[in-house]
Amino acid sequence: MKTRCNQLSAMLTKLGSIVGALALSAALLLASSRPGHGTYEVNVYKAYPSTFWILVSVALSLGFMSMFGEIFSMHSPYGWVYGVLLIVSVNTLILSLPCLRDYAFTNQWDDVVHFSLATNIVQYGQPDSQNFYPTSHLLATAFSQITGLDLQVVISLFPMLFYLVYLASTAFVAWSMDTRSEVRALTMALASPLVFHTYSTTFRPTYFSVCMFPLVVGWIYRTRFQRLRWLDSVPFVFLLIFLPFFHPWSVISAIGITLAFGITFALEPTKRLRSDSSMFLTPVVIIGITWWTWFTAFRVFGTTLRRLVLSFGSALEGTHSLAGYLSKAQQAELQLSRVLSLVVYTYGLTVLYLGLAGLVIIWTFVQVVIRRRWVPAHLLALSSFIVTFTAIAVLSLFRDLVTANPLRISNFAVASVPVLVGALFYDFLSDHRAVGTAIARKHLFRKILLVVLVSTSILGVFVAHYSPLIGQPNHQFSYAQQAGITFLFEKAATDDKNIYTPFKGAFTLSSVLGSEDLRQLRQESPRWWIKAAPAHFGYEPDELGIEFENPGYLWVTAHENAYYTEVWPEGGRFTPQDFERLEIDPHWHRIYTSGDLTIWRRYNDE
Amino acid sequence: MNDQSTDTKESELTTAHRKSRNHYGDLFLLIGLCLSLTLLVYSTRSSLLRVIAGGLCIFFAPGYVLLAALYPDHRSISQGQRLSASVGISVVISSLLYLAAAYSLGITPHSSLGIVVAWILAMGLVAGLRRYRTPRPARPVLRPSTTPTPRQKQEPLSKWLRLGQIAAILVLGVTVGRLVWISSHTAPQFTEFYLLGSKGLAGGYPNHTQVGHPITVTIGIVHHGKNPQSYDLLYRIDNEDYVLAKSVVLDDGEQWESEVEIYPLETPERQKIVFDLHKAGQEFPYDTLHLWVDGSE
Repeated sequence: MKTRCNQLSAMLTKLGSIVGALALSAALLLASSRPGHGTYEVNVYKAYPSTFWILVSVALSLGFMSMFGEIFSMHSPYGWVYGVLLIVSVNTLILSLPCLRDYAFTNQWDDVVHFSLATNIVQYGQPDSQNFYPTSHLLATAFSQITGLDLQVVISLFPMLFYLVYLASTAFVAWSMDTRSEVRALTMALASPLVFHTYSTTFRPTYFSVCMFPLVVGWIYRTRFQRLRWLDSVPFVFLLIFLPFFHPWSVISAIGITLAFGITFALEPTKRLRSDSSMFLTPVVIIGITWWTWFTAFRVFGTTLRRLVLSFGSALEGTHSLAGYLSKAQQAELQLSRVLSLVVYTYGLTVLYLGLAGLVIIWTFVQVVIRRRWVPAHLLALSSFIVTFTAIAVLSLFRDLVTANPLRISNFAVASVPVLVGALFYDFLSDHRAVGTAIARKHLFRKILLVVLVSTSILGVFVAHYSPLIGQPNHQFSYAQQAGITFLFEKAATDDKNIYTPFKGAFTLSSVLGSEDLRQLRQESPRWWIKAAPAHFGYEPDELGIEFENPGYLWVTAHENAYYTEVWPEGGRFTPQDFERLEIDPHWHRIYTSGDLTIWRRYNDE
Repeated sequence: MNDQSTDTKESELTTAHRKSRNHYGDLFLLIGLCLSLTLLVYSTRSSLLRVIAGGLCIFFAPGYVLLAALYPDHRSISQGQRLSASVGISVVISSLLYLAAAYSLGITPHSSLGIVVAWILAMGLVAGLRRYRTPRPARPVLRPSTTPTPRQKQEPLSKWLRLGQIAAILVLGVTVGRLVWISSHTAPQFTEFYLLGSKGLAGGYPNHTQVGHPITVTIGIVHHGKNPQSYDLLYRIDNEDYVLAKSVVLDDGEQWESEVEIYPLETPERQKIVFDLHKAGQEFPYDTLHLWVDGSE
């Protein structure tokens, strides 16, 4: 009877994966029937009909069901690979949407800035003199030169490629830490959803550092637990030397996890590992010295240090501070339900994953502190790392901490979750040594975990791109917008009059100039530090445009327009009426439009 | 449980090893990939094949050959670890190579390709030599397990389902190819419409009018899109339309620019001159621009 059930379950698992692949194929057919035209779209999730998104969700759900079926009944040792490939294919499609829909860049800020830094390498053969994290730009440039792809396309493709790097890195840890195929499979199932929010779609070295983080964990584990010869540690040494050039946060996270392992070894009660705890000093010294030598040579070191001290000393709040959020919510007079939905869509995935880690952390705490039982060292090390990084992320809601966004830090903790929980969850959920009601209970918990993973994965798809769902219009930077910036750069009158835009637009010019050239241009003419236009374009009841200081040009992008007229029509710095008044304001000539960018010239300048 | 699993793997590896005649296939494959990429770079502008080969040469091969050189036998690193670590280590190696190149040779299309190909060839050679010195049974064999499980033998339906999975993957591959092909054959579609003042710059626009004298302005259109487009150009003062240009047909990236004369109304008021761009056959303007001018005294 049991064998019969097993056979049926094996067949259903395979059938599910086939249907999942066909659902994804149907979604792809729908996507190819509606190609993008490269012009700005406020919401990428409305670019395709709801059938497309249903098919995507079905494919994801069946991928996870197929994986779970294979993991917990083990019909064949690597039968789960089909499920994970299905999930990864869906996610790759979602991450490739900007390329498939002909976006110039996925993001209005990061992508263009990093494009400019990479352009500098194309132009001058080496990174900008102030570029303190050049490796991702070097990689992008070389990738573009070797493959023949346009550098802009490469910038849009890299987040997707690093998602694959993250999966491979997690697989390396999973393969290093456990020999059971089921545990490896569960770890991969936990790693596959898009849990890094919009970071998954943007060219950000911080995100790339997150993707490389499991590799650091894997090599620490491999070199320190398996007592390899010095020659076998060579890749680890290369990794340590590489991190300081990647991003400062990759250094901080690597030092954090190395120290966590070192302290765990030092505290080990049986003294089995204690003698090895000093081995962790070597990696810290290598990475510390390389980083110090490299990073202190840049001006940004001083400013970062000052900002960090200030953030504690004089309560400098970050751009994503909690107080800032609350004040925005008050200004826009948001309903509680909208505030809650924004919180869920913005932080839901992180909270859910850290919640899963929390279960293991509590279990570890109970074992070590209450029951006085030692747990595997990597559980303790990863738990303490996750707690520390989560605490820093929470702290950054109240202090600047040079983080810009709490998710930037919590993503490192989230990247550790699959490795932390994979083995323990499998031991808890598998039928081995379980009898009677325990089996039924385990089956129920499996179903709960499956539902959690499917929901996470579907939610991950819908928060991977900026959209009104998370209170932002699409951050797409279109070719039409880029054409407008080029026009202004080439045709602007040579005077010292300022250039304005509703958002502070200093980044935007990076879409057409290499970083070194841009710096030189701004030294010659500070007007190219594009200024933020006064609130409501300075309109008062009886006067027009009085708050502009020496105005020359004003540009409005489709993204800015959508932000203030469609997503936040109330409570923002501009209202839809302000944009209408601009059209009839006799102080501004409307001199250029590309559909996605409109340029105005001040009347009284001639 | 773990010991049993390790034993099974050992026996699988030995079986695979016996079956394998070529112990250097993986290294030859990567070296072949390098050489093919070199040919592709100098013979094609950009192609899917070049993208795949280039991607593997940056994101997989540098790490793989390093690991192959460092771990010439299968006992020190498992097949799964070797393959998965190759990706991350390749990012590390490629980055360090390009970093070194950036501050010495400089990054150019030749150095980008040359440095990574040189690394793969050099490490591939070292890996080959070290593998040659390794006893044959200890050499790594990259080959999936082909030993069928007893249950697979018993279930004929399972074979059909496996075939179904393969068929579904093929269908998926075809649809992916179709989507990539369609997306690579689309182009951004938009139109730039602009006004220039004196000296052909976006400044020096006429501010005042004089009775009986026209104002002069340069007007331009740039078309972006795969298909040619015909445009009509009008200007409007006080709800009265005047034709500036008819049926201007532009191809992708083509620009039309012309200096035009406008006759504003003879009024002391500040007046708005609106320029309407129409796409052929469309009643409403595709886009508009406007200038403000002070009237004649």
